Amino acid sequence: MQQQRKKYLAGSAQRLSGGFLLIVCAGFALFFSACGSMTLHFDEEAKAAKPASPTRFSFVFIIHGDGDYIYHDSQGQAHRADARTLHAARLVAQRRTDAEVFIFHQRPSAKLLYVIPLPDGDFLHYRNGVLQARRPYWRSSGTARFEAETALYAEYRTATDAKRTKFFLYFGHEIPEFDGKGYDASTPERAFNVRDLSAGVKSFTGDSTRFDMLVLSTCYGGTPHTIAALAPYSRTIVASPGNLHLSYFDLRAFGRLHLLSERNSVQGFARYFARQAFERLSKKVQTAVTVAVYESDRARIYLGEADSRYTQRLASLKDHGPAAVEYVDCAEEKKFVLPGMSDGVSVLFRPSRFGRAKNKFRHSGWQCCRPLAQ
Amino acid sequence: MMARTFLGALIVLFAMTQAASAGGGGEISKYFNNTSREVKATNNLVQKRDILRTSLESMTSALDRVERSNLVPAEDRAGAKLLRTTLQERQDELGGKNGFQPVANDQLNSFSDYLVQDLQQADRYITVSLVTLLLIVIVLILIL
Repeated sequence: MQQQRKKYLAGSAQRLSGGFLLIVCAGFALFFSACGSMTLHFDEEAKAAKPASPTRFSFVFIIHGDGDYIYHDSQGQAHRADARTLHAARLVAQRRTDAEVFIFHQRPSAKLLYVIPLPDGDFLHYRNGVLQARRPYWRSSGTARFEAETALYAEYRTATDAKRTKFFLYFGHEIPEFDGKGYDASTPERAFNVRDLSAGVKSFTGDSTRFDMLVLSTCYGGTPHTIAALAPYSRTIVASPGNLHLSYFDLRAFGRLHLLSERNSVQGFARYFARQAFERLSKKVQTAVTVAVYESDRARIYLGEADSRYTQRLASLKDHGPAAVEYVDCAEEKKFVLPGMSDGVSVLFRPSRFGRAKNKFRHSGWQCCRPLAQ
Repeated sequence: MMARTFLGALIVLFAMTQAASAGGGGEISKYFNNTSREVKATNNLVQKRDILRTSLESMTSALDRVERSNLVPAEDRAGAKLLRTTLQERQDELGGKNGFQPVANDQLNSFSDYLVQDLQQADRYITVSLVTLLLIVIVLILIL
C-alpha cells in the first residue's frame, strides 16, 4: 500500500515537474515569440491590394496605458480608454492611404513568471494605409522619456523632402507640471511631467520644422505652462483646459483632411477637429466640456508674462500634494488676466450639468492651479 | 465565531485582490457605476432618489470609518478629505441643501451618470494611496 502511495507520489511529482517544465517552455516560447515579433510583420497582401498614394500627412500617436484607464459609458459598460484610442488610431492609419502613421502604445510593465521583464511598449507603423511593422519595445527609464519612441520613429520613417502636414497626438491622464513620479502606475519611480513631454515632442521634430497640429488629449492641458512648453514645437495645439473625460477627443475628423485645403489653413482644420470633439463629448458626458485651439505664435504675447507668473505659482505649490491644489479658469485670477489673453485662442465650452459650476457659461481657454480654498 | 472570522478574512482577501487589480480607484467608480445601473433600472422616482442617497451615504460612511481608524497614511489625509467633500457636495445637491437646488426628478438618471463620470475623469480626487483605497473598498463591502 505504502509502495503504491510512493509510486503515486513519484508519478505526481513527475507530472508536476513535467507540467512545470511545460509552463517554463511555454513561457520562453512566448517570450521569444514576443522578441521574434521584433522582426517586421509585412502585410504583403494588403500592400499589393492598395495602390500607393502620395504621402501627404504624418501622424505620431502616443497612447499612455500604464494607469487606471477604465471608464464606464452611460449604459454602464466598462471600456479601457487606451485600448479604444489604439483602435481609433489604427482606423485612422488604415483609412488614410495618403499618410504615414506611427503609433506608440505605452503599456504597464510586466514580468513573465515574475522574473523575466517583458516589453512595456507596442509600436505600429503604417504607410499608405498598410501596416509596415509592429513590434514591442522597452520604454526608456532615463531622463529622455521618449528616447525609445524617437529612435523607432527615426528608424522607420520614410525620408522625404516633400512637404507633409504633421500631426502629433498624446492621450493620457493629466500630465503633472512638476515632479511627475507615479504617472506610470506599474513603475511609479519613473517620472513624467510637462517638461518631459515637451522634450519628447522636440525630439520627434528633430532639427526640422514644427508639427502643424498637436493634440493633447488629457485633463488640464490648457495651462499657461503646458502651452508655453509645447508651443515652440507645434503651430497649433488642441487641448482641454479643464477636465477631459477618458472617452477623449474623437478622431473621426481625420477622415476629412481635405478640409485642410478647403479651409486653407491648419488652424481652420484644428477648429473643425475641436468642434467635432466638443460635440461628441457634449453628447456623452454630464461633466463640463472645454476644448480649446491655441495658435502658438499668436498666443505668445499672453504666454510671455502669464507663463512667468504661472511658473512662480507652481514653485509655491511644490510642497502641496495634488489634493491640496485646485484648477480654475485663469480669468478668475486677476494675476493672470493680462493683455492678449484671448489672442489666438478659440474656446468651446459647455458647463457641467450638475455641481457648483453649472452656471458658469464662459471659459477663457486658460486654466490655472492655485491652493485649494479651505 | 471562527467561521465568521474566516469568512471575513476571505472577503477581505478577495476584495484586496479585486481592488488591487482594478487600481483601487477603479473599484470606487465601479461602485457608482452599479448605482447608476440600479437607478436606470427602476422607473420609480422615489426609489431612484433613494438608491442614489443610500449609495452616497454608504461610501461616505466607509470613508469616515477608514479615516477614523488611524490606518490612513498621513499623506493621504488631504486626498481622503477632498473625496469626502466631493461626496458631501453630491449628497447636498441631490437633496437640495447648502445652496443647491434639488436635482429634478427627470434628471436623476443623468445625475447618476455625472457621479460616475466626475469620479472617473477627476483622478485628482483619487490621489489617496492604494492602501487607503483598499481599506475603503473593504469597509464598503463589509457594511453593505
